[in-house]
Amino acid sequence: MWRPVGRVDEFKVGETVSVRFEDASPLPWAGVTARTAAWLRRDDESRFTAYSVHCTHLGCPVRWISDAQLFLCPCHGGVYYADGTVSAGPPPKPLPTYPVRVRGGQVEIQTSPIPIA
Amino acid sequence: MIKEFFAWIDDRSGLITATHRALEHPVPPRTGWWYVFGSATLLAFILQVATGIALSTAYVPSSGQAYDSLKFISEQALLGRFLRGMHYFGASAMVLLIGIHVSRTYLMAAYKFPRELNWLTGAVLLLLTLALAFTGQLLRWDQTAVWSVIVGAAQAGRMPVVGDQIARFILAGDTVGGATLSRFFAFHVFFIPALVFLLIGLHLMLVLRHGISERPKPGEPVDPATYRRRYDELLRREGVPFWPDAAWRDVVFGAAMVSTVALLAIIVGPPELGPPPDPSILEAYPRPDWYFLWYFAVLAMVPHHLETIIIVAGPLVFGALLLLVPMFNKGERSVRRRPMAALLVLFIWTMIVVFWVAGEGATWSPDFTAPPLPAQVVRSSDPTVVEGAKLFHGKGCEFCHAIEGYGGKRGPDLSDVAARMSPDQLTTRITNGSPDMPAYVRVLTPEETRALVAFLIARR
Repeated sequence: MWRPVGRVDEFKVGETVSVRFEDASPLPWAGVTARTAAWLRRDDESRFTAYSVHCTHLGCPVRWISDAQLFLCPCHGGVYYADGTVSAGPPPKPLPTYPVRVRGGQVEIQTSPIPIA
Repeated sequence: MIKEFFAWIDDRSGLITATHRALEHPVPPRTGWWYVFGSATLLAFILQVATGIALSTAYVPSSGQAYDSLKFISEQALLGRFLRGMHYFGASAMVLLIGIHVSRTYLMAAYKFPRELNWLTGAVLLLLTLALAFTGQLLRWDQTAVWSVIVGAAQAGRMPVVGDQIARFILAGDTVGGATLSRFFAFHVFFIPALVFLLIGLHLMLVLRHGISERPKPGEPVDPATYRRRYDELLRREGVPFWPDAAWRDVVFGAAMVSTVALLAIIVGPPELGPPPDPSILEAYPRPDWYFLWYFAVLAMVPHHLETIIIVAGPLVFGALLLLVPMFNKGERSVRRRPMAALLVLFIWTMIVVFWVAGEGATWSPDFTAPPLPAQVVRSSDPTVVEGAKLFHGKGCEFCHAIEGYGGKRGPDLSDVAARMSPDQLTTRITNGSPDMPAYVRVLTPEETRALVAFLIARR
């Protein structure tokens, strides 16, 4: 399932921001729990990369620290570089990426299961 | 008239006679205060059932609405805040008391012949109590609860072969969503409590069948051939009726426990609800409740390469050891003749307390709230040093390193780093990083690195 997350021109080249979208099959009573997020970076004019927000250590939500160009995990202190590779701490693997495409001026992310090690 | 009515009830059901027989059955003398923790655990469970039913009359077990119903219970419902507090502190009491009860029965080797099944039913009750504690924390359906589900699933996912299936079972799907909370609710209020009721019944039946174990004496080993005869003789010679000779202590301790829980519920109150359970809010700081805080610390502090082994094998080995204990069902009961047993219990409690304290501090977590360094800490008007201080905060160094009390504790305190490292060593470390620190060559320009080093060298 592809979900639109914003128009292409809303994203600046080189910047990483969080985007919010809905799960693949939200139940009517799911409320806010149907929401999910990704860290989206615009690599150049036409290319985007969407990183999972889940630390590969135990699934906690990593934060993008823009000035430091690092993803940091609040749980056990995992750190990732801007390209998702591990730079410090317990994470065993790089941050997974989600499929992204541009359709009709919209950036779309493919909904994916929560990555489990 | 009333007397006749009860005589009729007893004649037809036998219940009153059976209750009398159970209450007045002879127990060994001088059992003392160490024997109150089992009944107190049972009382805590009954308290949980009562407060749990009361809470369920207002709680809406729906992923989308549970949070709002909890807000209503906490802020508006009659006695809602008190009941949530009772349920929380009652759960804490139950976890603590069953831990003490298991330790006591192990230290006094009450699991030896003929009480092996007492131990096994109790061991399963311990595991079920922990399962209730975990699922209960999740029913407090706020941001922390949602992330705890994900962390729980991620841990289960480390299991070889079946890990992914178990993780998806915990999430009730591919992601957290509408089905997740309903599943935890069903487990927390129906499935697990039903098993607990069944096992408590069995456990109590076994306690009556074999009698309460007598205080162990050094030099009086358990021999299955003679134990029952000796125990019966002891009861004939010195036995006292359970009620009131032994049970008064259970009543006093139980009343004190319930009063403490109620007082804590009134004075301290239930844990505050965090932000809503929206998985797209990424400013989260998930922490387990106190009873699992020590395990949270274990997962931060073990060497990374051993982690999967510990996550997978740890609970399995713990479960297997619990079930293997009654294999050693003969011999000395007194802890004075079983020094290894005393050491093992001491080791487990010390480990839990040490890791619990570490979890409370959580020094491995970056401090996202660290403020920019104030002028009295920077103590320089040199523009390069001032720029370095700004970078120290802006580039995230301060999340992990403290200077004069400002900043995180994940990495070494850098207040006097200039005394330990030369400018060249600092440049190398910042540029290349270490296994526990990012290589900042990707983040800083050479000028920025120079400014940062100038600032750190000025820390004399």
